[in-house]
Amino acid sequence: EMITLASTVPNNGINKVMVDTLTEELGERLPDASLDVFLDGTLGGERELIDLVRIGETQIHMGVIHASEYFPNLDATLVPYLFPDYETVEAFLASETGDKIKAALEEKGNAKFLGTYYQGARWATANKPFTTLDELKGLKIRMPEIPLWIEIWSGLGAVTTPMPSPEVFSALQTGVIDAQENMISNIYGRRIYEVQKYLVGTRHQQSYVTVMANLDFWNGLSGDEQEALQAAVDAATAAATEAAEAENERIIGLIKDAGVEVVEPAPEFREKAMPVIEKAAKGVLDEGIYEAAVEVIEAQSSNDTAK
Amino acid sequence: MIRVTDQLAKASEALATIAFIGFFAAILAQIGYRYLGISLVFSEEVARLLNLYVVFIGLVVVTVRHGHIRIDLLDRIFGPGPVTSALYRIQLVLTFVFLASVAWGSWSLTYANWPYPLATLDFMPKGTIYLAPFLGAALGAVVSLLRLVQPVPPLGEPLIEETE
Amino acid sequence: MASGLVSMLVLIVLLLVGVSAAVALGLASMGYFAVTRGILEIPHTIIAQRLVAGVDSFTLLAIPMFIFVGHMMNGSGATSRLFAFANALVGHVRGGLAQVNIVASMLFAGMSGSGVADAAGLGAMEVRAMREAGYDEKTTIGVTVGSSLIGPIIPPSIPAILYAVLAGVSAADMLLAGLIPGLLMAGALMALAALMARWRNLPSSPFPGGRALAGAFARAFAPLMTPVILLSGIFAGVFTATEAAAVAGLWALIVATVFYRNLGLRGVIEVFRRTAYDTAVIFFILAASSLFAWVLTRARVPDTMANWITELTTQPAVLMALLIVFLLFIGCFMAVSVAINVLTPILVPIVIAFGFDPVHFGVVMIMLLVIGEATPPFGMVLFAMTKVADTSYEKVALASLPWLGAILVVILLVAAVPQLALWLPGLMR
Ligand code: NA
Ligand code: NA
Repeated sequence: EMITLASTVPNNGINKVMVDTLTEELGERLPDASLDVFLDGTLGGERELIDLVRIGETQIHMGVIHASEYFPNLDATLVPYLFPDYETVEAFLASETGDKIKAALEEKGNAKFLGTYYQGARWATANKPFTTLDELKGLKIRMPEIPLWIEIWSGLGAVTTPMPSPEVFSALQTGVIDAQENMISNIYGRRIYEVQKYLVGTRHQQSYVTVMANLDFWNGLSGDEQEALQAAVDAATAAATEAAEAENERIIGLIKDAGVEVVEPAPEFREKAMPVIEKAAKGVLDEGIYEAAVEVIEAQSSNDTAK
Repeated sequence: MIRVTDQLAKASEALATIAFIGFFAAILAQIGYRYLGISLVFSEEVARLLNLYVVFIGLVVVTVRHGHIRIDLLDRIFGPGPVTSALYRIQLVLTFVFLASVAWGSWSLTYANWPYPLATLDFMPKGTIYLAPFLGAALGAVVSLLRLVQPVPPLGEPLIEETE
Repeated sequence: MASGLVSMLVLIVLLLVGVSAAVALGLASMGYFAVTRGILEIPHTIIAQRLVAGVDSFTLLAIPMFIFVGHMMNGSGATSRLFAFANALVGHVRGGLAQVNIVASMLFAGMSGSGVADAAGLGAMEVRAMREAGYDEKTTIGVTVGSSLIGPIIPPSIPAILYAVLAGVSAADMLLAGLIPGLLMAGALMALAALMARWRNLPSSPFPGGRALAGAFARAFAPLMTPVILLSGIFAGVFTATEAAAVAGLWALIVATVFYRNLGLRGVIEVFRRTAYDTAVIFFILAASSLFAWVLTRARVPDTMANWITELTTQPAVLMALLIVFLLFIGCFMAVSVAINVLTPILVPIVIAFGFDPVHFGVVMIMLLVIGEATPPFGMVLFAMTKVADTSYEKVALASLPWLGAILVVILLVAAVPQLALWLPGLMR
């Protein structure tokens, strides 16, 4: 049987580890199935791909955008600066709220949640270094079309502007915008470091990719097959997450070698930003979700100190 | 019936024109607001949405005027006559088949996406994106059928406006 | 793969039978689904989704803006002022109106994104003027067709925007990259016109004098600012390519309503109407070609073709030569926008793997496909010129040949010297 996997993620780095491991594991655990992989968005953008997996044109999808489409009211992981690391994100997804998220994905997206893998934190790049909120004031920064993020960054004083990602490079180069924020792999892959002087260690969001399967396809599998697929995905996401830290360190090294200066925001940046973030987030999230996330994070950090 | 298709063409052309003026303005506003230091959230999405209405509502006019770009090699070989007329009718049927498929598919997508809001215009359903091809293709399909029973236009000379 | 090739065959048959390009692309895609899944299993939702996805891009919105500028300039009389200025500038040079024809098109190329807009607007004027001055038909029609092809190369350019979106490169880079190749094209055509003037004994008019030239320049000054606004705006970082296109549109509107004022409210509305109509025509084809390209991807045609090509050669120069022949051939049968939609996702990964810059390759690819606008059986500029010059399709095609040859020489030069395309966008860095 042919299992089609589609995603917009590029076929390199962490994602390549993910897909290669999945192919290998599936070959062992489900020898009758063959994985037909379309990466780099060759079958469409994220918005189109979640439709494809919903109607069953593709069986497996790996992506990010479904969260803000299907359950923006539940997904606290999109809130900047809330989650300190990927472990807390995983703990949140394993919590009661996580179960609600998985149910929403099944109901609205007709897709079974199979797991997530880490991509690293999102960083900002800029032509003027900003380490305080004062320095952020008036900075023209490109934002993806995520209303919560736009609200927060403009609430912090930046001028946010929407822009298609292929234009970001020349817009930074010519000064249409001063800054952008992205995953480290995109900052490198899209050569943004060539036209920016500073890499700002905002690490404002832990970004990760969700792996999901069309629900009808999943329900059509036997119990053994479901187990095999789940085990293969678990192994692949674990391998990718494992690779993420080192891969991002490697890329940051390459970006530094290209002459980009890394600056760290002052501690007050996050402190002063938090009230704005909390207010905006509570406006978007259902009642109690923000608090539930905070609870998970605090439990996790006390676990860590106990260890 | 010719009057009906004519009126339909005029109405959709007016709508498409207004949509074009709208997205023109949205792009200019985006520049203006950026330099005034105001964060504009929805300009890009508005412009893209309006463009879809220009394209798919405009599709109705183009279909009424038989203005789709095509190779008229056979028309010119056979000249005005029964062969060209028969080919013309086959083209209409084929156009109907494709547009009907588009209408069907975009109706499903309109319906499936109606419960969700657009990313930045959250008071509007995401289904409004696919409503454009649904309206355009459904009306275009109807027009293609109507034209089957209307007289054949003068063929053998290109009916293109200056496009491309 | 086999089913993908079958649907390509279906496409060609449908096109030859006279089915419109968009419908033929749509039916060929439906045919693929019918063959691989059964007629009742055709995924209509995917068809609709791909149509929308193919045109739902902010960068592509530059295209209607460029169409608008072209129509506005034709409607407001700016085009005839450009022609008068070109006449004062080079009417006395060997080749007379043939040279004027080329220079006028070069100037018009700075405010129009397509060849048909030139052939149908400026071209009509040029043909009339050359016939009245006693130029032979072959030269008249040939040079008008050849020079109209500068339109989509010098920015603004519709194919450049489309390519940028599909190849994932910057639209601003693609626009800037076309400027020098476009100017070279004009240069090559002017050189050929000078030769022709000798062979065919073409007349030229006396130089009207510096004052007359200055006057003609002043009268054409406002439209001449369009490319300056467009390019300096992009260069200086005031706006992105799409925004620059809208500003150029605003400028064209100001030129028509504030400076020239001969269009009237009705005329202005008519330009808006025409733009919306043309946008629908062009974007519906773009939408359908995006659907067809998706079907080919699903059938693994790009991967298979990439494998064939890489087995054929490992030499970048050989690859480029093969692609030049291939694209010239394809351009004869496919509209530029369709070919870009279908071929860009296939070819760009290959050329990158061979070490070419995708912006450089894009310029070469667009120039090659644009030649197909003026070759049978499917050339939009040929169709337009047949109508404009009220002559036969075959005569237009034959008359154009030598001029296409001159353009081909420029293409080979640009293919061999990437800096001709890349130097200008590189300056922004
Ligand atoms: Na010309
Ligand atoms: Na141009």
